[in-house]
Amino acid sequence: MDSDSGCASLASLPPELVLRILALLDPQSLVRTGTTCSALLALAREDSLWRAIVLELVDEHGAPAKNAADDHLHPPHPSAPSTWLDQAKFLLPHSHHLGYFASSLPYNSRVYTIHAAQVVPRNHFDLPNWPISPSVVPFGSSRDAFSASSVVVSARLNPHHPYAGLSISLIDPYYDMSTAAMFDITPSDGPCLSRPNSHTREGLAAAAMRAPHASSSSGSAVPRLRLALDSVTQRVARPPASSHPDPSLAAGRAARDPAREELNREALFALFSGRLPRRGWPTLQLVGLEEVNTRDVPHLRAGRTDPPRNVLRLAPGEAGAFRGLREWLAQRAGERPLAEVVQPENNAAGQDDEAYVTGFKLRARRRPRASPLPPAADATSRGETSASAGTGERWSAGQPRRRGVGTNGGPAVLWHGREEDPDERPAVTILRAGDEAEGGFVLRLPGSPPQRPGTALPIGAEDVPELDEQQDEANEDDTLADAVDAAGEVFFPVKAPAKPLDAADYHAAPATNSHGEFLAPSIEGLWLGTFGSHGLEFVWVSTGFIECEAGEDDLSEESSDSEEEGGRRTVYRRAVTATKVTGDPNVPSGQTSWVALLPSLTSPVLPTIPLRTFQHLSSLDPFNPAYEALNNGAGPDWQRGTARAFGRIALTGFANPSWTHAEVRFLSTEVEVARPGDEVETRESVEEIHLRWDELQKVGVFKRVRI
Amino acid sequence: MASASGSGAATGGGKVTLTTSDAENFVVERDVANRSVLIRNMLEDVGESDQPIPLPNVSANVLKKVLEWCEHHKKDPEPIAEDLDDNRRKTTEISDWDAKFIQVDQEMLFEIILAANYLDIKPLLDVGCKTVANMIKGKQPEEIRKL
Repeated sequence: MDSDSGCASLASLPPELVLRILALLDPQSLVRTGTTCSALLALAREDSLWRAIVLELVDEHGAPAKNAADDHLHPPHPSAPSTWLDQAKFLLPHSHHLGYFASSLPYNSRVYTIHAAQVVPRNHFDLPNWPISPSVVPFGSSRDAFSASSVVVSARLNPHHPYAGLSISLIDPYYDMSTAAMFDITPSDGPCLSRPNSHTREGLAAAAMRAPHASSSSGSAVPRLRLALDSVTQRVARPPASSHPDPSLAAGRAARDPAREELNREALFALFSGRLPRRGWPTLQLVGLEEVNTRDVPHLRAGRTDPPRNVLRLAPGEAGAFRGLREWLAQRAGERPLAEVVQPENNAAGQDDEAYVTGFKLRARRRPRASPLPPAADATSRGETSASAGTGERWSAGQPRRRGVGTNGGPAVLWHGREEDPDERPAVTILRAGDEAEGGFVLRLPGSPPQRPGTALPIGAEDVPELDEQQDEANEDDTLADAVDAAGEVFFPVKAPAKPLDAADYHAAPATNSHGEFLAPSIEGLWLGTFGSHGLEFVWVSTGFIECEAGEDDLSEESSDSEEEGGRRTVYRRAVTATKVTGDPNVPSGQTSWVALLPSLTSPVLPTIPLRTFQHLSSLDPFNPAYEALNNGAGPDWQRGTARAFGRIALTGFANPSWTHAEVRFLSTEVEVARPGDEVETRESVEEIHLRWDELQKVGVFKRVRI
Repeated sequence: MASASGSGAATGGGKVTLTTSDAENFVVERDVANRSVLIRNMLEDVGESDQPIPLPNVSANVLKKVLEWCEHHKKDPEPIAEDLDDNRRKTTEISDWDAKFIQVDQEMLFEIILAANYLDIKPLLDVGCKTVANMIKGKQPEEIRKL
């Protein structure tokens, strides 16, 4: 289109005025405006705009009632695992608030990869003591009867199954810390907060897939990076003002509601913007402390004459975010209380509260390679995540020296710089840890690469006073390598906002036409999807036309071989385009994630499958005759009811981007439409999209986010 | 009148001459001209003077429109400092008179915004920005491109 003249008048305004206008827009309009031209895109992605939107959303939906806040910030007692699952509400069809634990860095949520080969019927989930709806659980997973925390997958194979040959990623917000002090990072799973025996339980799919290896190779043979939890003591002092609280202060104050909201805000902002919030670990919540005034706790005041002060103490009945962490810390620290009040130097105004919080930080240690792994495992693991696959390819061509091992035996810096992205982002360092031949894995860290070995550990936090005792973890055999310090890491409870669909929204873009067919414009908007090991990412779904080569429904302007053909004819196809709002090291934000071609050029009809049918089908045993009949008939496999799609893949740093074949499936479901007054109307709408990446052998699940 | 404008130094009632970029002169009441923070500051700095104030960034037809707005709003209370910014997002409503006033072609609309920015007339700038925002809202990218 003639964007030159198109943007002329709006673009003729100076940027500050355009920003002023854009600040008045709702997110949808903002994103749409951003798609008009590059100048507006740059402006529409301005931090301040999105920050304002996020803050507004928090005001509207966030700023939760106390109970809700507790739910999110103080994860429940370990004995209530279902509450944790409740937090995975982004998977629930009608949730108005999406609550999940998200990290601002990739890999930090545990990603379960479940292969279709291990799919079991969904009706296995109808266990009375696991009160979650089957639709929440990834297709094919089942609960381990002996451990509430794990999901097991059957190894039964049904090649006709809709997911056959594919894997599904599930971001599980569950962090189990009850016995382990170490986070294992494995090539297949990335960093996982895990138990020592995680390889048998949580690497379920992977383990089952390579059963021969998994059983024969002990844990030590698996290349892995260990993240050590070091307890640290941080001084907690009163913030002088609200100006730029230092992370520990933030944590200290976070036990109170306004601060909680603040945390929520930052987390939301981080989620939306893909940037790190400026705080460090919210230690108090993570460990499970609370701030009380000694005035309210008589026994703390016993024998004291100084004025009442705020102190930190273990929050009774409240566990930290990481289950068992508190116990672990307490156990390691012996008599040392987790938080203790130090005597104030003087009674100056009674407002200087100082305390030392024993928290923890992460340090990475690379385990020396015990034995080379068979190449088969390497191939398997590389195929699993786009990141490792991509970088594996990229870095395997070249010199013979061990890839991915830094000078000190630690992770090697693969790439450091800014993402190729019009948006200015903080510098990003991409590390590879582990030998490339072993599969290796990639970490993405904000900021500069770790400092040279020999100098101090690259501790991101400004001042982390040493804890007096040097607790040597039981891994003396581990060489302390170039450390990846996770001081910048954050685990935040995030409420992704979603408001109930209201009548105005609904009628603005009617979901169906008179024949009851779903119309593509109705799915425009923000969606949240799984991107394998990259975790959750937001995409913006829009509809329109794209250019294709005639006769070949291919985005072949991207592929090199099309250059050779002379006189190619382009045709236009109606398409659904998903553009990344948040990005990852491979495909950054602002890039197209996938494009689905719609069958009809003339009308924007979406091929859809009712989610109900799909669930019904899923609940059947794959070997059930009814299931097979359905599947051979018009069942929702990947051959029917889907649209052809092309997914964007690239190597780390958006190097060598290309399109890969994919299928996309739009699942319609009933939604409740809030009408003026308290009436609720039930309508059909597309609320879920499945995208199958043929090459990556993965299925991504996208859920609608309404804001 | 002087008290209404709230600026102590400037004495109300007087006339001010404004010269546009195309060398046209406008003689307006001081109260009206004071809606522009730029002009008000200038007048306060210069003091009483018969010299016309040059406005090299504003053309006559735009200034005429802007002055029409200033004339109508000359009695408005001063907006409270940055309070505006906070609820800016929420309210994209425009008063009836302003809505009617701003019903101009697109070129003029953007000219008014630019002039309001230059003359530092915040309320008018807001009206302009809100109008453009309302034009963008609910539109498809193709339609937005036409703006």
